[in-house]
Amino acid sequence: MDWKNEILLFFTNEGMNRRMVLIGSILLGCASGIIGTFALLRRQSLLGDAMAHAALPGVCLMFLITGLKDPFLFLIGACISGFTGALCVIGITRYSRLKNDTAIGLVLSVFFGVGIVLLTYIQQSGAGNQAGLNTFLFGKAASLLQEDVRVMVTMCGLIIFFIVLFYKEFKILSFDPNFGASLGFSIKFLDVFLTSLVVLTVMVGLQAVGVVLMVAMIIIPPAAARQWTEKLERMIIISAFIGALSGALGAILSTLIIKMPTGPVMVLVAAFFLGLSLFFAPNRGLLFSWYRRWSQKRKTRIENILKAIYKVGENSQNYERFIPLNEIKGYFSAPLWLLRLRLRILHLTALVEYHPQEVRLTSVGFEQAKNTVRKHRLWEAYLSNAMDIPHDHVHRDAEEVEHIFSPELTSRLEEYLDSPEHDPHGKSIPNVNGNNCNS
Amino acid sequence: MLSFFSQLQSHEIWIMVIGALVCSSCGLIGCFLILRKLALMGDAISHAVLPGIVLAVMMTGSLSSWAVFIGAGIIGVLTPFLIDTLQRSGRVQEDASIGAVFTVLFAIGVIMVTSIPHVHIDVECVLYGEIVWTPYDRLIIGGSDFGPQAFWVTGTIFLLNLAFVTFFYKELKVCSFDSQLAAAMGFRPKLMHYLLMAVVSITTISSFESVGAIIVVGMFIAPGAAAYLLTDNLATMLALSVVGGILCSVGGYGLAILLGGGVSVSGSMATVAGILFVLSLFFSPKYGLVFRFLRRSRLRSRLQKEHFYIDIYRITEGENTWVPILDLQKINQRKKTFDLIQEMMLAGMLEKEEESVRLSEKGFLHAQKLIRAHRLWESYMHKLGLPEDHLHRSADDVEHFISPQLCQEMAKDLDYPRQDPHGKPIPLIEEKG
Amino acid sequence: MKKENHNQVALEVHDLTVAYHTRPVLWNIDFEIPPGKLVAIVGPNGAGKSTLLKSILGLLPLSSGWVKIFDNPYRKVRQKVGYVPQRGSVDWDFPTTAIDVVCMGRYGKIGWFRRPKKEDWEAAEKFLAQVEMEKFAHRQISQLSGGQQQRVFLARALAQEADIYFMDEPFAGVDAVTEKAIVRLLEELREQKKTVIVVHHDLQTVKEYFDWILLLNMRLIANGPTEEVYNEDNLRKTYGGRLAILSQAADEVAKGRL
Repeated sequence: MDWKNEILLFFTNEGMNRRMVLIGSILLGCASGIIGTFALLRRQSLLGDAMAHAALPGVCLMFLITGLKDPFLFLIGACISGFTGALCVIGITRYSRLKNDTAIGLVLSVFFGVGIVLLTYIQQSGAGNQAGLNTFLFGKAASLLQEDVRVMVTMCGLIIFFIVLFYKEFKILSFDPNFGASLGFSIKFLDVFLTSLVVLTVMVGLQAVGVVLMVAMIIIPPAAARQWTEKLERMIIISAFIGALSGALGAILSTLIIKMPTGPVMVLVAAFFLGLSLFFAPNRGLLFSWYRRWSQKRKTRIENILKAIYKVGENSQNYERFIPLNEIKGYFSAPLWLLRLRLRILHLTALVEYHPQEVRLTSVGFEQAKNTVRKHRLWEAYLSNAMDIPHDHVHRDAEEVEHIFSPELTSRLEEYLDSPEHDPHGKSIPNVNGNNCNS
Repeated sequence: MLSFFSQLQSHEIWIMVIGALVCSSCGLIGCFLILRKLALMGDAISHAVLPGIVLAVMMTGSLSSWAVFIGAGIIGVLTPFLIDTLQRSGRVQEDASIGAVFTVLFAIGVIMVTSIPHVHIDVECVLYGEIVWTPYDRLIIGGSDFGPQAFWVTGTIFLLNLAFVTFFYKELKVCSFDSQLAAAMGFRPKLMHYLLMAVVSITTISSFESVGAIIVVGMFIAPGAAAYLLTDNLATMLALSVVGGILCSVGGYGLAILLGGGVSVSGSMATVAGILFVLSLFFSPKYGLVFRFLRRSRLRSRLQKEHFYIDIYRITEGENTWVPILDLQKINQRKKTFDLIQEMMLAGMLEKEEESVRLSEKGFLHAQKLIRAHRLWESYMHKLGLPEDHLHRSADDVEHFISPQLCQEMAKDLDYPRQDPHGKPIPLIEEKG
Repeated sequence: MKKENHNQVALEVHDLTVAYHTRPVLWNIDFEIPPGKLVAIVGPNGAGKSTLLKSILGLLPLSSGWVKIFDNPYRKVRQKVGYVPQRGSVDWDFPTTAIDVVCMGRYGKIGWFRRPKKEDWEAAEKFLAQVEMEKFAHRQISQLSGGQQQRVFLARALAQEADIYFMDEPFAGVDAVTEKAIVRLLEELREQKKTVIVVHHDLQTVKEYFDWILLLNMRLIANGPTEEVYNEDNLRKTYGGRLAILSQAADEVAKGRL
């Protein structure tokens, strides 16, 4: 395949079709990213699924009634029956004891079934041709026409216009509808209006990517965007951006490089972005929280080593001497070579002085060890003095919190306990400033 | 109808039998999907098995091999697992997790179908099935014909589902009702969940050829949902959903024939399923909208009549003497008064003489009961501290609903009062027998 | 004219009956509350406290009766009413910050379509500071503690700059610091002659915090100044016995109407 030619072709007249595909996919991704954000936050993502499937009978009926193959008429038919589907879902949940999920599944499949009946009826009477259903199911992104793109531009523009106009109202509708109602906003109107926008987006998107994958486009970009920000307006922008990027990459990948259907490739690109966001987003990302957990674990490990050296020193009342390794190795379950390795690292970070076989704390290491022990014993004292927990139950708890407590909390604890000198086991609680334990 | 059945040919019977097996297998399992609020998980699995099927077909080269079932089973457990993982990461909400997972798996499936050259799967068929062809794919062992292969496959699956539901009836019931309780009782709700999901996906696969991925969702949900509106008993619900499944199949085929034979049978089955659901939504004796509406309008006319008794009683205040109709027309509209009088005379509650009416013995007793309830309620609310001028409105609605037992309790609580707070007498009712 | 009304009645509830579906949950509630009071609505679980609040604010349909706030129907005096819903009623994982939530309190004054202006954000900051939350203004709301979330909700109500406030269980599940902050806030509001109506469930503190009490258990038990109403007899009526008849009546009405 000649890349250069392919790319050149894109900008020539023959590339018109490809340009349309690209522009259409970008617009679609953008619109569904924006509208999907609200659907996601209102937990209505799968209502879009029901709407998308419910569109089929509307399209068929429109054809049966008018006998015309006008995409605009089809769009109107799809919107009407999609909206009816959404109403049915709401009605079934309100007027029967069935739950939302059952209503969605029911509407989705029954409407679709009716649609298939109508479609095959049309086919049997010879009025339509086979192409209709395939388009409906998988879209025809690869053959988007100029007028399709024009519809998409209009839709995208409308959606952005209304979202900007009603931003504040839609926000309160999604966050706290009751409060919104108490402020005097008509929540029912906003609800219907936002739902109509979702219907419009889904229906326009249907012809490009098809039923199932349209659902993906309103769910995945917002879910990915949510990982990157804690602000609604940014989430909308990021979601639109991810949607548009998925559209663009999907179109490019499927038409220029590998010959694959555009819709599914678009969805896979979006899913790739979701995976990326889940792992790499700051704060919410998995990688980030793994790192946080790992660094807490590492801190615990270091402090336990320092504490062990400190305790041996405390027993002999001499913190200055070098301690032979076999005196502290009993404190750990880890094998000796691992302990050696860790001590060497601590040596490098200047927390201990480590020579083969013996070790002692540096002054920095000593302070940190003392602090850990102090937190441990203060907490033990607090649990047994203030909370009346028996002596032999407090150690385990303190083992954990000694690595977590902030200095503020520690000094508040100390203040509360009136600077005790000894923990419940009779061990002395080291002071931060002086060194009350040194003989 | 009879002629429809008598003219059936063997392949048509096979279609209906296979359809019935598919629909009732789905219906059985679907009940638990509905009760456990997992209806959309069924939707997700039915879409997500597409890559599983393609993979199996790629490896074995045939759609009807057992490898497809294994592939489906794996995907069927993988899909809920992926959804759970995504959701439990706390970063994506439940519905979005479902939507994201199944659409992506479906997209992978579509790409596989379209871009791998040696796989010939009719995706349309996978999505909405082609039950009409199933009777012609015969199971032939050693040269003898054992009927359509699909019959044996769907039959096995039906028996499997039946066994699963019967065998784990208690477990499924407890886990659906309260999974924490189930865990505390030593059942394994997690295990049951994944077992159920595996059964769902195997059932889905067995139904592909006949009804396809999207319609199968309807077969899972519609019979169960219709049954759920008809009964409060789980066993009855299961039985009804099997019956519903059979009706869908027969009705669906009938509808397809009616529309000219070229119409999709699976689509017609879903349509019939939808019709069955709508019927039960409207006409269920207990929860149906029509009966609820009828009950409400009957209630309205009852209240109207009862108000009329009370009006007559009030005018004569317990004496039950003749009341001029003109007096009553002052309270109600002329036309309505006339209608009410006619109606109540028919019921034997009212006697009419020239231009006056009088309550019959039966009518008088009924009026007494209502007045007693009204005035006792007023006294009770008064005791609870409601000011005197608010009492009447309060009792106006309640009097029609309180039972004689509750009246008795109120009377006891109030120490058997003779008068209401306005000083009107509270009638005593002599209990007969 | 307005001034005069202020001096008479802040909230008048007349013969209010409310039903959930068909079952009556509040029977003939009838009371008046003078302005400038800190009012506690007290009653056991399921007494209809939140229902009363919601039906006053028009969030639930009334079976009968009417409500007037400063002598007007609620629709006409929305600008004068502040509302603090229960904390559990919203999704705290919503992508928004504390200051943004407070700013929502201004939306009613801003009206349709228009954006919050600089003054609105400054006001939001001010009210956030009033509940000692200014440090957390740009924190995502799920990263706040329960008490801090409650304070954000209070600040949002303050941002409504109302004359009468309705608070649904603001003390539920908050820490000691927040409880103190809320009490201080309530006192400030009283000094500004605002009326505050609080659904409260802690009998221990009700006497200390509030100067007007409304005892409720499906029906109104007592309504008046704390010293007059808070007595053993009323509390027994609220929390113990004698309800069997009322709730059975509710059951029978619900069944009859089905």
